[in-house]
Amino acid sequence: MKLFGILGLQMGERSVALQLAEGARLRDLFEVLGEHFGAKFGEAIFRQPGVLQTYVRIFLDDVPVDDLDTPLTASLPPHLDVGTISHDGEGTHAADRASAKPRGEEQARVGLMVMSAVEGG
Amino acid sequence: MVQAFEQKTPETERAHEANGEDRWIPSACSMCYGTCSILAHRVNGVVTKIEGNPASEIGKGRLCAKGISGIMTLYDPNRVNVPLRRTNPKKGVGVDPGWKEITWDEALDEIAARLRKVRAEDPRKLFLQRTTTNTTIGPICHAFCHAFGTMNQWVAGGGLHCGNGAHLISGIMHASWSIVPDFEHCQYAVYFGASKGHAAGHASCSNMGLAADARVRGMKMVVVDPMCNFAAAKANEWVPIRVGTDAALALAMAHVLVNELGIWDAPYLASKTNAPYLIGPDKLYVRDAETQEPLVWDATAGRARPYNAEKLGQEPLGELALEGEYEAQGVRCRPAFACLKEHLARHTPEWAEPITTIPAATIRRLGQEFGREARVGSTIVIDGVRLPYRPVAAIAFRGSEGHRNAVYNFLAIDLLNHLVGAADVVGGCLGFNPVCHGHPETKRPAYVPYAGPDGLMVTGSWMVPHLPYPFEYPRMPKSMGFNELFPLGMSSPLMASADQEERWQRFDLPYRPEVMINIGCNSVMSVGNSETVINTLLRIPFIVSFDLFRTELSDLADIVLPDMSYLEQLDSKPNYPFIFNLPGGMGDWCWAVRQPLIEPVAERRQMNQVLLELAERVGISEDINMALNALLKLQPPFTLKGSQQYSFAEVCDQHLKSNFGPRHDLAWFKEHGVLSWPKKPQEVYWRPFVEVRVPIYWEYLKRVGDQARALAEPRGLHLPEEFYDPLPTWLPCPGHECSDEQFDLYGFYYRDTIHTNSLTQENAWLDETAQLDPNSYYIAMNAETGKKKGLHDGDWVWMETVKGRRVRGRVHLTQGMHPEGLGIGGCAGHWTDGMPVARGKGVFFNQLLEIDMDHASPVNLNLDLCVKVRLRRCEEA
Ligand code: SF4
Repeated sequence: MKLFGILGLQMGERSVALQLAEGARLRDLFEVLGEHFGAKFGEAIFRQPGVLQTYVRIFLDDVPVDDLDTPLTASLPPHLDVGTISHDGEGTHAADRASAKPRGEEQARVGLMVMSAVEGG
Repeated sequence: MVQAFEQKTPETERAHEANGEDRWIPSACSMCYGTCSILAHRVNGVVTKIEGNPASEIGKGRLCAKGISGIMTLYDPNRVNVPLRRTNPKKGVGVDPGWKEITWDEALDEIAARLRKVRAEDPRKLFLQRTTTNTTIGPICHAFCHAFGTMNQWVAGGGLHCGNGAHLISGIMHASWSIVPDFEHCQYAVYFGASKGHAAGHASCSNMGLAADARVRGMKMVVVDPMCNFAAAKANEWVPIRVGTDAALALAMAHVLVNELGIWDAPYLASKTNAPYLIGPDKLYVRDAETQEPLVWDATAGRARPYNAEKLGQEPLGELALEGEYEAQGVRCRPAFACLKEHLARHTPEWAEPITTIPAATIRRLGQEFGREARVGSTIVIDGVRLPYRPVAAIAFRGSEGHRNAVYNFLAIDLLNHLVGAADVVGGCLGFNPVCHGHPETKRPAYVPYAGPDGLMVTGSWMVPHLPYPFEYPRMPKSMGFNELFPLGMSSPLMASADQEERWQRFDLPYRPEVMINIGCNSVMSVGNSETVINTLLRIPFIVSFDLFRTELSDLADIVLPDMSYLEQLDSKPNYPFIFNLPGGMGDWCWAVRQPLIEPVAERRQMNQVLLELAERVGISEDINMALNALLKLQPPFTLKGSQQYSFAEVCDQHLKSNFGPRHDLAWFKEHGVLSWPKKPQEVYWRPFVEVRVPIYWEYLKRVGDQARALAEPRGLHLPEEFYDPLPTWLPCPGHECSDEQFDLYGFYYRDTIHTNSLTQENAWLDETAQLDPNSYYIAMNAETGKKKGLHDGDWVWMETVKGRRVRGRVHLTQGMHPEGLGIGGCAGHWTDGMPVARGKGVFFNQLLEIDMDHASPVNLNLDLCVKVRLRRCEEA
């Protein structure tokens, strides 16, 4: 698990290795991280319990995902069709991941970044 | 690392000469943010001419005067060509910085050392500002800031002046950055302070062609504007309006529709908006006790039910009530539409007349024409698909929303479209391409709006990571601009305001900006009065500025870096992210690139490449790669990996292949320029096909207001409650409340077609053109008003505000101006010796603007751009 940008600085750790139970989902990972870092972690990324702030991005194997129910035990197919998108075009849908091939012994690489509320123009 | 561009050497020069090169090369304009596709004629390595690229929908083969004149910026002898280091530690206007030429390595070493220091202390001490005009830099700047860990970024002036209201509401109501009429089918368009299709702006040249064709076809254009300018001059009717009162006119027209004519599109309102949601006495939705979903009144069932009953596994809803009064959850409540209808009853044409100066009879006629032309209930077949047909559009942009009342001004105007169901259907008001099913081969880029909290629409694609809806609820601010407190805002005046330090102290901001990176932006002139901005800049210990020319801002910098102009730059996404500049309506999708047209000159470098290099030196390459993966929506196997170093050319290549497959890589795009495929009616006229609702009643505005006030008021920041009501009304700007009779005129500026803000003022051809124009460098004034004041055409005057700010200029007396208006073009009046062509030309309107929270929208932070002034004759400058 990697915390990018300001999150890594705020939490005092950039990289955390965690062992999760078989079948764990992103949601479970965040619970464990909340215990690991304490309340400041939840404050930084959740708008209310279980609901991410809109500008938090989660990456699984470098690809943004937007569904906390995404399983960590599945991996992306090695060459995901470039046409595979979620309903909103951002990230990859949980269903795509659920049908992806099992990860086996390979570690899930999860990243987290706050892409803050900045201006437009 | 891959070297982005071929280096200019004696060998390559000789090769060009020997080859007798004569090529037309496709690229993209950036003399404004319209990104029209261009073809540049290069002869023996020299660009000799620029034309529009007829193969592209972006511009449709047309160019404006600015686009043609880009050559003069490319070859301007006054360009910054080498990195410069300030030697004089004293900073200020008129202080010689004592520039010394340094190497890129020296410059980057010093900048990286500063960046590493502030990142270790608190990354929020980095403040990045950039121009809106060069669209190439947006994603890389966002990525750099997210990777570094600072949220302190803005487009100084942009947003505050134009987009905070227009983009927010276009995003919430049309899932796009901006709105235009469906030029091909619209029969009646009302423009409120907008010039779409007639001057500068998004998809500018494409829209100009489409608007001209529409006028020939018979579309009636009514332009509401204080000035008979670019759009009004070509319209069927010009309606002069008092500056900043557009909401009053729009609300009175809506009243005529709803309460006098009984015209509204009931099926559209019931199924595509929150019009049937029940509103309780507290002005909030009445919610289902169990599911917390908003309730509607099912007239068939005779009871209140969740708006999404079927999705909750209940039987389908019957007919939904839009009017009447009911009881639900123990309270008396009414559908949102009934609340709106009653609210509009107070906004009669007679109420609006003294506010707008438009006769009530004219307002009534405009409302009647709009209602009649809407043809509510009609359909039409397009490419074999039967679709709703509503050939009317109410269009707004900067002129109407550049005020303290930005949100309501824009919202009131757009309500006209929604009342008659003319939103994203044939002939109506269209967002810029908010639905895209992607290229036929890859199905990318693809996005569709979807239903978010309370069933309200979330955009499928957006320009920045901060979506217009759902937004975060107000929190105690940690950013320089207090963006957390204003979730409906984007750019914030606090980045350069007079009350900046006081506000920061009151809200206990735990840091101050220490390093500023400025990219192509001249905030000294682009925000408001220069004295205020300069004071904020002088408090920043270290400023580095990427510039084409030495501007008034770069004169305050510590290091100036020589940027490349758009004709020297590479970019995979000038029209990022696709909802920006492609014209609305049927036609083709079109993805274009920008590429360097000449070999690198002197020490100029493209800032995108430099930011990637700085990221490497600061140790945040992995972070910036991840941010770019998210912002560019890169898909495997084309994601940027780990902490691998990529050149900007490699990032562009990955981006193009991710969207269009390995065959369409950067080399393919450099050769062909654009990739096109046809649009489908279901994409363009998407509203009937996508199950989303938009709010005609802004319930959450009340909730946001309550929470923002609870945080702000105890710390001395007053946020008036009337700006946070769920239904729009007209609220005055500070200028409307000025009671000193000496100050009897409203100064405003408009976007000139000859110049793009301050960016193009140094361009010799455009300067020459502007000197021939009767308005560009003048103060346009109503001829009768001028005569009453004893003024003659060409007289020199001081334009003065109540606060004692003043600028000098020459008046141009014209019939095409509201009697109380004074119109000034663009952002002229430069004084730096780094821009000798621009120096001393035109009028610096922004000098008159106050920059503080009292002159900003308390909802979305839009700066109030109209100012009450008096004129005094003076001697020639
Ligand atoms: S409208 Fe803008 S992008 Fe298009 S040619 Fe003119 S300056 Fe260039």
